[in-house]
Amino acid sequence: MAEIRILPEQVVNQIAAGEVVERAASVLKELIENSLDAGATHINIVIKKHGRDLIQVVDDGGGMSRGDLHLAFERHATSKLTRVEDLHRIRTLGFRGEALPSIASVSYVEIRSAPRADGKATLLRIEAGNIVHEEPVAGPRGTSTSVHSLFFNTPARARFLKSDATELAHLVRVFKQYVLAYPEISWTFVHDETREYNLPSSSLLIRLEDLLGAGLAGKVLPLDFEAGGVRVSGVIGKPELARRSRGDQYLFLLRRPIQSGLLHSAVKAAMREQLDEGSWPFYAVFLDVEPVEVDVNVHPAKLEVRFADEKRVHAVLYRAVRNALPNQILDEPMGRGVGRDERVGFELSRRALAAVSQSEELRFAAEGAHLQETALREAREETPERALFRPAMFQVHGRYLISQISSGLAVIDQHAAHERVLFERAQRGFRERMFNSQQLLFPILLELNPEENAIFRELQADLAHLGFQIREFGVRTYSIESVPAGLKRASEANMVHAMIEEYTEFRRAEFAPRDALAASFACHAAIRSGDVLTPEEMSVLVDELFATQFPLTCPHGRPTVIHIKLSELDRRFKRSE
Amino acid sequence: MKFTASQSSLLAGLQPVAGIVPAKSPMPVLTHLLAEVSGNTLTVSATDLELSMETKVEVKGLKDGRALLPARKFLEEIREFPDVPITVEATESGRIKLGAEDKNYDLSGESVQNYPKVPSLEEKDMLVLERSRLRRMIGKVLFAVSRDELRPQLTGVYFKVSADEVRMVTTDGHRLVKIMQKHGGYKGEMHESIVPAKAMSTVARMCEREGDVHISFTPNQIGFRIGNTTLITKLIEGRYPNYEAVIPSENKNTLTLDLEQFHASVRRAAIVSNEISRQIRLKLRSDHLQVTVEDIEQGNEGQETVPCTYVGEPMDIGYNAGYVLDVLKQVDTPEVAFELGTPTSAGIVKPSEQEKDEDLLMLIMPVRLN
Repeated sequence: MAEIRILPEQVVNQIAAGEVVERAASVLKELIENSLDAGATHINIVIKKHGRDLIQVVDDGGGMSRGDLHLAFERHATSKLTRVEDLHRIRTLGFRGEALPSIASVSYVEIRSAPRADGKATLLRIEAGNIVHEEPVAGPRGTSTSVHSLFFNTPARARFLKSDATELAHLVRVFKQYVLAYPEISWTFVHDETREYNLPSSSLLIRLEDLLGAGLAGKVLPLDFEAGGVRVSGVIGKPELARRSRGDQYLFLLRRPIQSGLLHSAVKAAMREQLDEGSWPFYAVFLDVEPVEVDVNVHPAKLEVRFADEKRVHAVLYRAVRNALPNQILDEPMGRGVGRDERVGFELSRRALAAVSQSEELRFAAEGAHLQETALREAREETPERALFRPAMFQVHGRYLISQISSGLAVIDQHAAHERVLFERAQRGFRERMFNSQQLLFPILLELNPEENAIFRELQADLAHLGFQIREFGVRTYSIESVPAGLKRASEANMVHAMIEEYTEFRRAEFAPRDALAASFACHAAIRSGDVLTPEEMSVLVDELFATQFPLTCPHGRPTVIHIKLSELDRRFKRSE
Repeated sequence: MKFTASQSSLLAGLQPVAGIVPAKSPMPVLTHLLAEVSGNTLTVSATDLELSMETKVEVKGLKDGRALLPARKFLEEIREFPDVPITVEATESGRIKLGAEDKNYDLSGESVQNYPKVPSLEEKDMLVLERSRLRRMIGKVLFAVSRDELRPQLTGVYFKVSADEVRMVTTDGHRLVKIMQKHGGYKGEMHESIVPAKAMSTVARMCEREGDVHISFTPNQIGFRIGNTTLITKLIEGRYPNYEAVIPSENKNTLTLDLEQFHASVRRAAIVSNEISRQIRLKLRSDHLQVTVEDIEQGNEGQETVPCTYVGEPMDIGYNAGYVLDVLKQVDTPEVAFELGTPTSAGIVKPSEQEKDEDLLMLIMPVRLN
């Protein structure tokens, strides 16, 4: 039998290195963050052979004493955190204390550091995690870290490195992120003896021009917006800067470069009228939130963050970008709702904002918040001339509603749209007990197998919130005595049964229990494909859809509305104008 | 097949039958009318496989035979002709020629072999009713038919004939209508059927003019004959729910209202009711009724007081305004009478006085108020 042993420290470090140090760029990132945390004003970077031979970062920051240097190479020794509570209030960048030992465990590291400007520095050499040499040396204040022969002792990892060009691109990408985040710092970047970048301390706009080309400053719009504890600054590119491929999207949270598909979608959604399908807007967006609002302890590489209230950040970013864009013609499908009282619209936006903090909602549903706000703006713009053009809505194939909007056509999937409406109603129903029960003349018998019965037991109280009054009738047999009021098109006979099945599916997709119930209710209570709608019903449906928080997707995440631009129709009909 | 007939008689004969021809069908042949000339009689029939209809028109027969007429085009063409004798001929190659004077049209037809067999019905166990009576009954019950395909029995009209009465019941589980009519005498067996709603509404349309309607039964079909026109429909299989069991017998709270006044109140309240739940609230007190409505989502509300005679416990009861309006529409008397039990049990709605030989009763289930 194999003996169970405690792994030696060095192996632990190597394992951790697999998480933190994926490639040369990750090393650069960690070293830069250390320099920034040390309060550097000049950071010089030297790369050799695409990072395979050398990654060196030299700063003029605080530096470390001999004792601190030793500590720095012990895992989780970090000067930045002393208590667990500190994890929740992180303002510095490299807090995990994993970086240096992890890097050192897979390379040869030489580090020279001086805490004061007295010319006294300490030099350490570390091979595969072990300190092999130490001497006092002369040197300026600051730290110089050189990482040689990365992954020399983990050939598997070394093989994972992509081509030289790819590795260099990643290094440059990391560099660009930090130089944009810290324009007040002077940076240089030397690769194989060539000085690729020399960036003196400046402002963000000048840094953008230095980095990405002269004239750029004239092609961006400044962002300056704050709401709900979230501050948005930085710039977004005018549509002419949009590109077919990604690359120039920079997102910073507390000046830390992050990646967030959700926040990217907020920028894209806000600019959707300006952007062609599949093009990438340029932006360098800085978000500041209270550190307690963010969970950055997600991935060791710290690119992905988790917000306590993702939807609020999404909503604020959307608004910030929206505000920065010049006035534009906004278009949403025009149901009766656009003529609605503005007060109601404000009420809705306020409610939506309040509700977003109830963040049990689904991540993907967050796409495209705040449509009601633009519908509202449209309402304000409604003039008699516009009213003349207010179009009828058509139902086609008993499945889709088609409506003219100012820039083209909106096609709405009636089932998906109704699902979205009912989903949010059900969620509200749990909180507000707003569902009344339509009593039934003929109670519906519900017979369940043991598994279904177990699920049903869990759901019974919430089903009652939705308006289902269900009485026990026998062994795993129940009598449904009332259903939610106003569901005339739903099939009551097997609805609860079908909901139980669907509920299991949604739970498997990791919906929270009430969301799963709300979603399965919505799915089975919604009008179906094939239900013929009266004009009145269509207009009520569209109104209700655009009064929801996330009108663009159904609870399953499928779209509810497809927008076909007039320009696309023109193109396909080969009209030249 | 070839015949001549006046435009007006052809139109009058074909129009009702064409009414059941589906506009579109997975079987394109069903969008045609089957025409058969035998001597001086033209028989025109159509079917959607559930429902079929047949009528006979007197024509001047020129050549016996059968043909399929493209229903929509043929009828529209005939409609645009002046009222002159029109000659219709089916050629060997399956084309339909119609012409009068110097107007000649030539339509493409379908092969008559492809048309399904139109059912016929032996007229035994026949009930004779006045058309207006039948139409009235159907008109009173159709609104409560269910659209829930998963409970097919409720999508039809329960139709029962016994020795001295004919009865129809419909329900969608939220409301129910039962109407009974005494009849002159029926010698056949007792029959219970569930007739598809579409057939019933077609029958109601057929019953527009004066005269009798002859109704005949088989275990899985029912036929209605008016003059030369017969409608035969398949029945919905299954058992109709035990509706008698849900009609309360001890609803002690009685409410009598002026129909017009109450109807107008509910209409006003319905406008601001929630678009989905359509909920209104009736506050019953000994000397008056208050109708209130509140739509929290939209921020709308209202109330009004309706004079009434109420004998019973004071209570608040919620209803779907649409359901209340539906039942009120069926009442023809100046006053309407409610018999209520509790705020969560079925309420009975009746005209204050029944028509001669008729008994109309409606049930409406309340909405439980939170």
